[in-house]
Amino acid sequence: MDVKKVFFEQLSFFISVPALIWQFFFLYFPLAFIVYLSFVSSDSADAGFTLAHYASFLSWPYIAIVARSFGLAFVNATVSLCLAYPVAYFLALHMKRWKHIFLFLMILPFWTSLLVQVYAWFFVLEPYGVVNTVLLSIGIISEPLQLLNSIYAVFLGMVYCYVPFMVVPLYSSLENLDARLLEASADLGASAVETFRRITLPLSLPGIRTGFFLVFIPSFGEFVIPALLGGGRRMYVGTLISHYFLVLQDSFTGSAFTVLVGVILLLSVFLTYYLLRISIMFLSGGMSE
Amino acid sequence: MVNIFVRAFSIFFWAVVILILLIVPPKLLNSFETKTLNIFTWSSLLDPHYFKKFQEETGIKINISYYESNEELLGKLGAGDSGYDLIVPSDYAVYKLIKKGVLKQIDTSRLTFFDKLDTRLMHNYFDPQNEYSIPYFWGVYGIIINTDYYPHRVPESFSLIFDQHFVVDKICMPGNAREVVLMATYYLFDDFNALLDPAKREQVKDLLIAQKKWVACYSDERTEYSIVSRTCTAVLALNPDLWRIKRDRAKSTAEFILPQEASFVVIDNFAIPKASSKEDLIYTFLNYLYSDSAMFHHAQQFGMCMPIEVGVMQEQLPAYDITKNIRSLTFFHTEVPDEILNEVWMALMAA
Amino acid sequence: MITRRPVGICFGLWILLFYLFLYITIIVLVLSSFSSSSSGRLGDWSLRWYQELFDSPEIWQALKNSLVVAFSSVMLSLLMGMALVVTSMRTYFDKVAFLFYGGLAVPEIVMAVGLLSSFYFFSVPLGLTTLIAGHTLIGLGYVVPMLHARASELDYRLTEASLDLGATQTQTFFNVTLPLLWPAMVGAALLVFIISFDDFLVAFFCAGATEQTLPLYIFSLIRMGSAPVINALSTLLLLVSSLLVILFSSLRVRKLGVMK
Repeated sequence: MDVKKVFFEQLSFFISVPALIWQFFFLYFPLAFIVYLSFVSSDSADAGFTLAHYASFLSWPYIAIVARSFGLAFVNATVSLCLAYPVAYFLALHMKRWKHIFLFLMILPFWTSLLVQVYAWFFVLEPYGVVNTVLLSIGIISEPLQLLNSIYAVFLGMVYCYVPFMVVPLYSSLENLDARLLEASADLGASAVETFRRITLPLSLPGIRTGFFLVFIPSFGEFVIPALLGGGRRMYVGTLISHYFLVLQDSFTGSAFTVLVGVILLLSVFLTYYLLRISIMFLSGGMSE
Repeated sequence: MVNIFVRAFSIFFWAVVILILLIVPPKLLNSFETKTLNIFTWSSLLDPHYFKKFQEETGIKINISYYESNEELLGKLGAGDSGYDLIVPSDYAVYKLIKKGVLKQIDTSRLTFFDKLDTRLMHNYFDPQNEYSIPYFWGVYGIIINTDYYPHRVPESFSLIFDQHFVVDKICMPGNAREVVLMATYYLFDDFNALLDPAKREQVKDLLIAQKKWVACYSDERTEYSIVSRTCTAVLALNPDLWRIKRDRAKSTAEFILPQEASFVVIDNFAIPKASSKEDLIYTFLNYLYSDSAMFHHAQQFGMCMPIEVGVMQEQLPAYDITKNIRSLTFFHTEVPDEILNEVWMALMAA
Repeated sequence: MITRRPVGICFGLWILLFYLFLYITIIVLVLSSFSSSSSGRLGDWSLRWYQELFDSPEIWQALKNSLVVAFSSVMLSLLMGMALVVTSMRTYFDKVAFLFYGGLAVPEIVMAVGLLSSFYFFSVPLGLTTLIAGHTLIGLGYVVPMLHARASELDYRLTEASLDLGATQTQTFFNVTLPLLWPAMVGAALLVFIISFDDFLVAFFCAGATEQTLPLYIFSLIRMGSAPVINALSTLLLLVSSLLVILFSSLRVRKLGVMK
């Protein structure tokens, strides 16, 4: 019996391994490889350790590109937060009858291809697309507006594509709120605004955090939206990475830039974590969680 | 003891299995094809449906793969045996490939059409003896304008896009560093090597950054769309783009302006990678492709300029009017290193 | 608290405008795909763009590739994920669980670029195989947590009881564990399928230029500008997504029912 058990244990282990190997081969090894590439000077035989790739990013164009993407991602997350919070609040706490339908409608965009979502806005904002045609026929403008190919179009596209990522965590967080706390607060004489400020807001901090990062992190490295709505006039982090690997065929500088982006992301996640905590605490009047 | 052995073995076993599954299937598929010709080309140069007849007649299967840019082609070929038998690099890519020594010499005696090739396309900088490349389709750079917005006579010059006095509303420029930076340099200094001088390089940067104010988009793919959707009133493009616009929209008011400064062209050429061993198939295919009917079909399909004379049918061809008067060809070729071109491009993109 | 009229109306309006913002462009897109004019103006209804889609061989090839990749990724990630969760759950799973959350923390473009570099430098030919590898990776990042969550909710006494009653491990697996995990498996399969089918970024970097998937094809079309054919294709894709979401949601409702 013992031999059979041991055999079975070993067999179990044997069967369980592929998934782990897969993660290693296709996620962790490639990441480590990129870090390795970023410090290697070239693929010739006499390659050596170098920081030259990183040094090349200290010039203005690259700083501008990173700053632009960072600013865009941050503003995107903040605006999404402001847009999404009332929706999540109302859905979680005040909607009974239609909740499932509205939730379903909120989840549907997750399952829709990003390309379709971006193209929808491309189609609508074209020089003779829907928006311009309507404005022209009403007579507000006499020549079609150039709505595409600008950072504003990119911003609009980003808000549109990422706002569902903000609503869902907020909704989760608010739904788990104990309604009795809110009742108690009202009973103790607090106004609606005060209850919100001092109880709901701080307690929804985990949801705010998750939502913020779910929007901020992907937006920072976003490629599709700037590529299709931005008109190639400016480079963003995502388009620059693609430029290095696919156009310049330069894996070394490209890897260095990718690692740099990763580090910046990590740092900004830390920063924003505390920033959010502090600002929510400030807004709520200094109550700890 | 047994434990560790089993664990190590499991890990090793699955690692090997996964690696084999990753590498073997494509290589297996390739090795079975002995009577298949693997061609690597731009997406609008060869019509895959046209070769069904060829396959029936000769038994050779044509397998076409596509690349998006010459850089991708250079990258793929640099890495040893790419598995391709025939490639179609542009002129500057041929130059780089010859320097790298990855091309096989072409036996021109086996080509039935060799004497019919347009002499303007032969013996150019990239392959003076035409030992490694045969010119295929080519295109002329110019400015396509929507005449609705240009009621008066326009200067036949690049100042139409670079000089604020002539620009109307918005324009569209190519989306790659080489063409944009070299064109701006030529416009200012008539010489690409001016880029090597830092002071002149700054002037090029300034010109491009100033131009950006009226550039709606930088894109290689949106030339036709920019004009048709009225995003731009002028776009820097190749003559096939005009032909496509006219073909798809008969009422279009687009016209092609050939700048007087220089006739920039790009020539796409057939070349054979050194690793290929299917010469017989290759020459059979090329002779088939360069026949009058095949050439005519492809020209009608894609609008590019033809590499051979086809006699009477010539005048029906899309680009005949534009190309018949061109004598000397100018290329976007320079020894100025890519790093400098990229530096100017980055400065433009960051502005 | 929001029972006061003006505030309630404000909220209602905000919600309405929000959902309008989410759906107005999609609605316009869908409607104009049925218009016969090439600029998408509404009016003459026609299915000509769908006909054009049907006739295009490139679309069928791209669709075929997308389906092959999606099904393979689902199969592989389900098999490997199941193998891992079921066999290691009570032994070492907790020590390795963190490995599967890495996929969510890393931005997709970084992952795609890592894969591209690794494939390039180790001379792995790019194509459908490499794409399946990437999608299976993403799939594992969803399958493993989802299966594990469901499996850990299961009452292990059920499996123990089955074993006590004389069933072998295999019999227990097929007759007890598998049926109980089934809803989670189907849900994970649907999720991985749609993620792989819609994925653009990994395909863009790792599929090579020859074998196009549907998203890659759509991207190359959008890059050239707008065209009514894209409207028609988008509408079809939206239809597919909606069907899958409905399937997925109905599963979750049923799952909750079972649990209660």
